[in-house]
Amino acid sequence: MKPGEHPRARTGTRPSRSPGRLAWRRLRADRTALITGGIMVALIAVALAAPLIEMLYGIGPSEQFQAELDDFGMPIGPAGGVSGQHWLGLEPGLGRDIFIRLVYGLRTSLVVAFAAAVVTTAVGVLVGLLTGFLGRWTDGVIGAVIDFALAMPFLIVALTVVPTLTQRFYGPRDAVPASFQVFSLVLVFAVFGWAIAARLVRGQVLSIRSREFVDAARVSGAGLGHILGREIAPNLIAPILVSFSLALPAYIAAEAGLSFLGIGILEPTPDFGRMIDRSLGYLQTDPAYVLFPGLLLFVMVLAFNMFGDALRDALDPRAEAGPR
Amino acid sequence: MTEPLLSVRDLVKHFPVKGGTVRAVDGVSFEVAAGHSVGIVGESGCGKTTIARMLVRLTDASAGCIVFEGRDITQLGRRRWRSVRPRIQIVFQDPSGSLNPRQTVGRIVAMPMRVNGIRPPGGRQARVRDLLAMVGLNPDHDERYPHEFSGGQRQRIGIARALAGDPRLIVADEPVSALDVSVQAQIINLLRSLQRDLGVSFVLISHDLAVVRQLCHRVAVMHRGVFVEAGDRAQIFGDPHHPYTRRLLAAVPGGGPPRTRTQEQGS
Repeated sequence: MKPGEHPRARTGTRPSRSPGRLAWRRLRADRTALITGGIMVALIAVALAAPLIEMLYGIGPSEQFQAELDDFGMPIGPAGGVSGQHWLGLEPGLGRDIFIRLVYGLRTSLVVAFAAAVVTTAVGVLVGLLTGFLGRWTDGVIGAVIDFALAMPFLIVALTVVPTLTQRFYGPRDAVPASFQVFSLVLVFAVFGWAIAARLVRGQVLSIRSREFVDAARVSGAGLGHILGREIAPNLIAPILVSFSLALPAYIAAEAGLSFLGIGILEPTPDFGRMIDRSLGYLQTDPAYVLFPGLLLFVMVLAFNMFGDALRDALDPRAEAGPR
Repeated sequence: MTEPLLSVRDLVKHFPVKGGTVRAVDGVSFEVAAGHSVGIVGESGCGKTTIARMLVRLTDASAGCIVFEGRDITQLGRRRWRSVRPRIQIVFQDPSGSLNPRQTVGRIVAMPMRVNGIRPPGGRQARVRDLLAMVGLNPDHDERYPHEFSGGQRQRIGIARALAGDPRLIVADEPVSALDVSVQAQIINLLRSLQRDLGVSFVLISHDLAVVRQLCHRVAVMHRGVFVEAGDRAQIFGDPHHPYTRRLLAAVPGGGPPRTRTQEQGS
């Protein structure tokens, strides 16, 4: 008899180590995950508390401080007017406070990224489950649609669809509300992003479906609901979580990119992409202006990405060792 | 002999492939009496597993019939089949692949009762504990997950699940070939005691003659989709007629376990 074959000798009062609890423990032991997770939580907290921060800071995102600009519209003081009152200085030209605009920019960025990630993941999971399980011609048809969606050039479609959509609802001189800008961005991301999630889930479903525990359920007479809900879905949580957490930084970067190109979030809504775009005109005269939004965007995308990687390692420790 | 528990007649399974068909199972017949066990041996790829899958209807037969408790289950409609289903169960080869890693052992074992709406007296949880004890596991471990058990213990969990629906027949597809030799013997002993105590019949599918010999009353030797020889255990092991059977017996390393040697010397 092998040692451990009969654990009857020992008592079974130890709490069970569910796969989820094991992953949680691995995540907590991972320093990268702790640091990047901490940064993520801090950024999200700042975004959520933006109005509170505004109250304490005493300056709003649209307030202009023309008096603190010189005759050429440049902020007076070191590093673009950094002072006790304006922690990260002022924007050249309009004289708005950079710190509070970054706080609200964080909000814009995270709202778009989370909304896009939630929508694409939800649609992708639904489609992936259906195609992976129904199989046959459903799989063929939706597979072709997925390939089609993945083949479309994202940037070109985004550059044409977003302005057209905006024109359809608002005249050329109307002010487009920020909510509509967010909506059209999320829509564009969803149209392209769902296919990636769907393909991932479909692959997972196909591989899990052929596992013998699904056969065992079928032999016992389990229906489609039991097999999908109780046998397959719990095994999908890990890959879905990972794809969600890696989609977030991608959408943060993509949102900033589209806004930088002028088709995402528009002035006066605070936004990283807009700020970086405006700052390019002052690269020589006020380099600090590009530094703050650029640095924050960089740190945010890096932290979210590294956390996603750490999460994947925690959920699937075998993936770390490379292909077996 | 009274009517057999299971009677398989002219079972055929052809898989269409490019440029023709693969005749995985090509006209196979056998019977299993209640409380008795039949072993099907053969090399890998000979169609053994396809038979196992057809017996539990994971694969539909191309032709032939499978009569279980007097009813042809290849023809049963969905609703009728549901009532038969828990009484024919399967134990798989891979003890880790056949257990859902995200479910506790208690839920895995209770699954057949759950999907069939079986409510045993005393409740499902009590029944799960009984089943775990029956297969030699600690009943207190029903809250644990499959990865916390060894290979042999996982196979015991798979057997407990198969027993949950009170089966009359268990199809065991290579139940021990993924296990260490020392653990193999324990699992075979467990199957044997279940057969003795519960009167469960087994269709044991294996490439390992030694395994089949320990459990089965009758043995069928399969080669390329057909039975080349079938008979009582004593006849197959003591007096094989077909040359393929002889080759198979000769291939057992070292002439097989000691008992084989004495019998061969005797014959």
